[in-house]
Amino acid sequence: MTDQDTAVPVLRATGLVKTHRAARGGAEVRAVRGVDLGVGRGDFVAVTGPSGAGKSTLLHLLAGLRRPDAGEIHLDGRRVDTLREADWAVLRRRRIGIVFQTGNLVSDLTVADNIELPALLAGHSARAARERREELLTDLGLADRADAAPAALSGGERQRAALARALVNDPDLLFADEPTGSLDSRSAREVLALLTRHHAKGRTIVLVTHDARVAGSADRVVSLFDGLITDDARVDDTPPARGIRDVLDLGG
Amino acid sequence: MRAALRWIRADLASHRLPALLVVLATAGVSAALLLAGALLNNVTGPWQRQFARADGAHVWIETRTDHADTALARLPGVTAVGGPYDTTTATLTGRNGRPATGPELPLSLRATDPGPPAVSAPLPVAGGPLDAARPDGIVLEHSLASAAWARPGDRLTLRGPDGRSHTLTVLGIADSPDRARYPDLRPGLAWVLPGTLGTVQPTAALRGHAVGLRLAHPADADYTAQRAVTTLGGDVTRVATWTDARDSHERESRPAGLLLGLCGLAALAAAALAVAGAAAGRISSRLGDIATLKALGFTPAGIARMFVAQHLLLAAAGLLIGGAGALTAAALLPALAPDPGVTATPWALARAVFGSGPLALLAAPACLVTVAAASALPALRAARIPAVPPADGEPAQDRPPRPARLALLRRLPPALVLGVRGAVRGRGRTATAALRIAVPVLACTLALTAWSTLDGLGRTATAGSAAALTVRAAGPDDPLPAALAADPAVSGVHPGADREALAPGQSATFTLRALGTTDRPYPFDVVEGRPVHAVGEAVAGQGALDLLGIRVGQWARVTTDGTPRILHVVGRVVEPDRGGRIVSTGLDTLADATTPDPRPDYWAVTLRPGADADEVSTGLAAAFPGRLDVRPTTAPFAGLATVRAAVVGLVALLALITLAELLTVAAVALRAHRRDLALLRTIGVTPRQAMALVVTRCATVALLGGLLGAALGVPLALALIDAQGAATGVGAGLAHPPSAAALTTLVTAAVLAAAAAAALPALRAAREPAGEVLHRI
Ligand SMILES: Nc1ncnc2c1ncn2[C@@H]1O[C@H](COP(=O)(O)OP(=O)(O)O)[C@@H](O)[C@H]1O
Ligand SMILES: [Mg+2]
Repeated sequence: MTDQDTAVPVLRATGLVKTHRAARGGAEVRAVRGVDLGVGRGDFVAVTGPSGAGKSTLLHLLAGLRRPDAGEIHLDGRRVDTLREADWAVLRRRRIGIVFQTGNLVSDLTVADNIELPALLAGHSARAARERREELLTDLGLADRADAAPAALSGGERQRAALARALVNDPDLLFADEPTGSLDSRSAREVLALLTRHHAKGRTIVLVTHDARVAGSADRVVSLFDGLITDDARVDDTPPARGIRDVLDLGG
Repeated sequence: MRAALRWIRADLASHRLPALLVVLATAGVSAALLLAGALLNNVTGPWQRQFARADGAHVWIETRTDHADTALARLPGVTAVGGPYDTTTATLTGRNGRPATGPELPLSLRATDPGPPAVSAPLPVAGGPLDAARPDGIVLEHSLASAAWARPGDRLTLRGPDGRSHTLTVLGIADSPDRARYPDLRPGLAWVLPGTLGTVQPTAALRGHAVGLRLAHPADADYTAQRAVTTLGGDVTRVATWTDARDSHERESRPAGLLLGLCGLAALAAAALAVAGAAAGRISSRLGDIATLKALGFTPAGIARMFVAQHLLLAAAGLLIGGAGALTAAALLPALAPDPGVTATPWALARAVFGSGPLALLAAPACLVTVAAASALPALRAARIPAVPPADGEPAQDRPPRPARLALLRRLPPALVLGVRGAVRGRGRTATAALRIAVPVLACTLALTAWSTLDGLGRTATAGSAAALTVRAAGPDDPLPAALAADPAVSGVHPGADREALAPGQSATFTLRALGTTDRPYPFDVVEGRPVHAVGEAVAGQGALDLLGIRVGQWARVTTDGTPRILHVVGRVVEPDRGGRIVSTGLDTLADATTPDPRPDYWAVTLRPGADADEVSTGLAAAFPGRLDVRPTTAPFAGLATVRAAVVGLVALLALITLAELLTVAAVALRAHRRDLALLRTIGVTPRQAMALVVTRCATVALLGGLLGAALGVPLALALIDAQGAATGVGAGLAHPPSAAALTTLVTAAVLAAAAAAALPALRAAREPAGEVLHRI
C-alpha cells in the first residue's frame, strides 16, 4: 500500500447524519449522528459496534441505498450523495458490490442467473458473464449448485453465492453487512477467506460486523457507538498509518 | 368475541383499500343484480304485471248463447265474470279513405262501455279510451294496430259481416294481456261502443258473446275451460286460456330476458372472484399478524370465523350502498321506471327495484353467500398458518426455477426480460392472478357477444345491409317497384307477402312468408342447409321446424287460406320473429291455379350504406302521395334497447371489477417482490427499470388473463346464446362472436389498465430507498 493510494481515498464521508422516523409520528431514531470516514484504496475496513449502533445505516448510506439527512459522500473525489438513484444504480453495476446478512438472492432466479445478472446489467456479454460465474462458483465450491434455487441452498452456500454475485463484476468497492452473521463457523471462515482473497487483489472492502474475530481479518477497525465513531484503529500492532490520519484530518 | 371485534376494527382501519374493494365490489354487484332484476321485469315481466293491472281473465269463452254468464259464474273456482260482451267479425279494408296498403285484416269487434270493466280492462298504450261522445270511435289492440300500421286519429274502413262498409276513427291503442297477440290469434281484437257494434251487426242473433272468467286458481284454467264447454254445449265457438296469452306475449321478450340473466350471472361470478381475491390479498399480507393472533390464543376456527365475519360485515355495507345506488339509478334512468311515462313515487320505485322478482329478492342473499364462500377459502388458509411466524431468509419458491434467458438482456431492456420472465415463471401465483383477471374479461366477452348478437339480429332483419325499409302501397302498384329500384339509395327491392299457415293436425299457426322470387332470391341468413333455388323450396326458422316436426331437407305440408301446399324445406334461417315460427319461400311459390301471379303485400327495401332511411322514406312518400306506408325495418326482439343498456352497464361494472382486480394483483405482486426489487436495485437496476419491471410483470399477467378470458369467453358465450336460441325457437346460429377488433380492444384495455394500475404503486416502491426495504424485511 503506497502513500499515493491512501492519500486519495476511494471513499470519503463527512458529517453524515441519518435520522429514522417511525411510520406514524413515532419516536425518531438518530441512527448516524455525524460520521466522518475515509476509506483508502485497498483498505479492508471493519465497522463494529453493538446492535443498534447504526452500522447498517452507515453502510446503506455509503452504498447509496439510503440518502443521508446531512453530510457528503465522495467516491474517487467525486461527490455522489447528490446523485440520482439511477446514477447510483449505474455506479453499483460497475464499481460497487453489496452483500447482506440474509436474503441476498432473487428468489425466482437460479443461483447461476442470480450471479450473472449484475454482469449482464453491466453490459458484459452473455459468454463473459457465464465464464465469470463458472469461475466464481468453482472457486467457492458451488459449481454443482449453479442451477439450484436459492431456497434449496444451505445458509452458508447462499451466502457464498451472494458473495459471488457481489464479486462478479470485480467491484473495486465491496460493502458487506454482517455477511457471516447467520453462518456456522466453518461457513463463516470460508466467506472470510473469500473476502481476504478479494482484498488481496487490491480491492477495497467495508465490512460491518459485531464479531471481534471477524473484525480481526480486517486491517482497520472502526468502532461505532450510538451513531458516532468512537475508535478507529489498525488491527496489526503498528500504529495507524500516517496516510489514514491525513484522510481523517481531511475529513474532519 | 370482543377481542375479535377489536382486531377487526384495527384491521379495517389499517387496511382501508382492500376493505374498500370488498365493499365496492359488493355494492356494484348488488346494484347490478337489483337493476338487472328491475330491467328483466320491465323487459319480460310486463305481461305478468299487465295481466294483474288489467284484471285479465284466465279463461275466455266465446259463445252464440246470450246468457252464458250466469251458468259460467256458477262454475267452481270462478271469482269474477266479465261480460258477456257482444262481438262481431269485420274486416279492415282501408285507412284514411284509401284501400289498405297491406292485406285485409280480420277483426273481432267487442262491444264495451267507455268505463273500465271489472274484468279484462284494455290498457292504453297510445291515444285514449272509448268515448260515449264519439260513436265512430274504435280502440285497437296493440299487436293488431302494429299489423295494420294504424295510429290514433287514423280513419279506418271496415267491412261488416253483411258486406257494408263503415268508417271508424282510431281513438286509442291498448294492450290486452289476456289475449294472444295478432297474428298468433286471429282475428285481431278491437273495442267499440255497443251502439257502434249495433250498426256493424244490426242482427242481434248473429252476434257472438264473449265471457271472461277470473279464477281463484289460475292453474285450473284448463279444467274450468272444459267444464265451460260441457256446460254450454255446442254453442261454444272459441275457448282460450291465459297460458296461450302468456306464451304469445312473452315469446318475443324471452331472448332479451335470457341475455340479461346471462349478464347478471357473469357479474356475480366476477364479483365473487373479486371478493375472494381481495380477501386472499388481505390475509396473505397479514400472515405475521395472524401467527401472532394464534400465539395470543385465537383458535384456528376462531380466526376463520373472524375473517368470514369481517368480510360479511364489509359485504353488508356494500349491500346498503348498492341498494341506495340502484334506487338512485332507477330514479334517474327512464328505462328502469316501473311504468313508462308515469312519474314513479319513491314507494313504487322501491318496489320496482327491490320487489321486481326472484333476481332482486336473491340479490342480497346471493351477494352475502358469495362473499362468505369467497372469503372462507382464504380464511381457512389463514387458520392453517402456523403460530410461529415464517423464519426470515429466502422465501420458499412454488417450484425450483429454471435457468432464465438472461442473455436477452444484451438486446432487450431488463424490465422486459425480467418482468415477462417473472410473470411466466411464478407459475402458481401468475396463474391465480391471470385467472382473477380472466374471469371479468370472460364476463366482458359474454356481454360483448350479447351485443354483437343483437347487431347480428339487426343485420338479419335488414338483410345484411345497413338499413332497410318495408314499403306498402295501396292500389295499383306497377310503377312502384321501378321507382324503388331507381332510387340511388336503394340497393335491393324484394316483393313480400305474409300468409297465416296451418300445419296438418296442428291448431297453432305459423307464418308462410313469401319474400323475393326464385330468380332474385331474398338474402336470407341461412345457417343450416342451403338457400332457396327453385319454386316449391323454402327455408324455415327453428320454431317452424319444431312446429312442423321436420328437419332441414324434408318436405312440409302446409295450408294457407284453405289451399294445401307441399314445400321442400332446404335450409334453416335465424328467425327471431314470431318465435321462429316462419317458413320463408319465394313469391312465385305462392302461385297457383287461382292466383297465377300473386300480388305482393309489401316490398322489403334494403338501402346502401350511408343512406338515410328517413330521407328515403320521405322521398318515396312524396313520389306516391297518400299511397305509401313506409317503415324502417328493425330487429323484432322486444327490449333490445334495454339489453343494450344493460350490456353497457355490465361492461362498466366489469371494468370496475377488473380494475379492482388489477389493483389487487399489482399490490400482491409488489408485496411478493418488494425484497427482490430492492435486491435488484442493489445490484444496479435503476428505479425506473424496477418500476418498468413491475409494470411489465403485471401487464404480462393481464395479457395472459385477457387472452384466456377471451379465448374461453367467446365459445362459452356462443354456446350459451345458441342454447337460448334453441330454447326460444330462434334456433342455433343466432349467436354472433364479437369482432376481432372488439376483442383486441378488450384485451388491450385490460393490459393498459394493468400497466396503469401497477404504475403508481410500482413508482412508489421504486422510489423507496432500497435500504429501507431491506432493513425492514
Ligand atoms: N428504517 C428504519 N426505521 C426506523 N428505525 C430504524 C430504521 N432502520 C434502522 N433503524 C433504527 O436505527 C438504529 C440503528 O439501526 P442499524 O443501523 O440497523 O443498527 P445496527 O446495524 O448497528 O444494528 C436502530 O435503533 C434501528 O432500530
Ligand atoms: Mg445491522
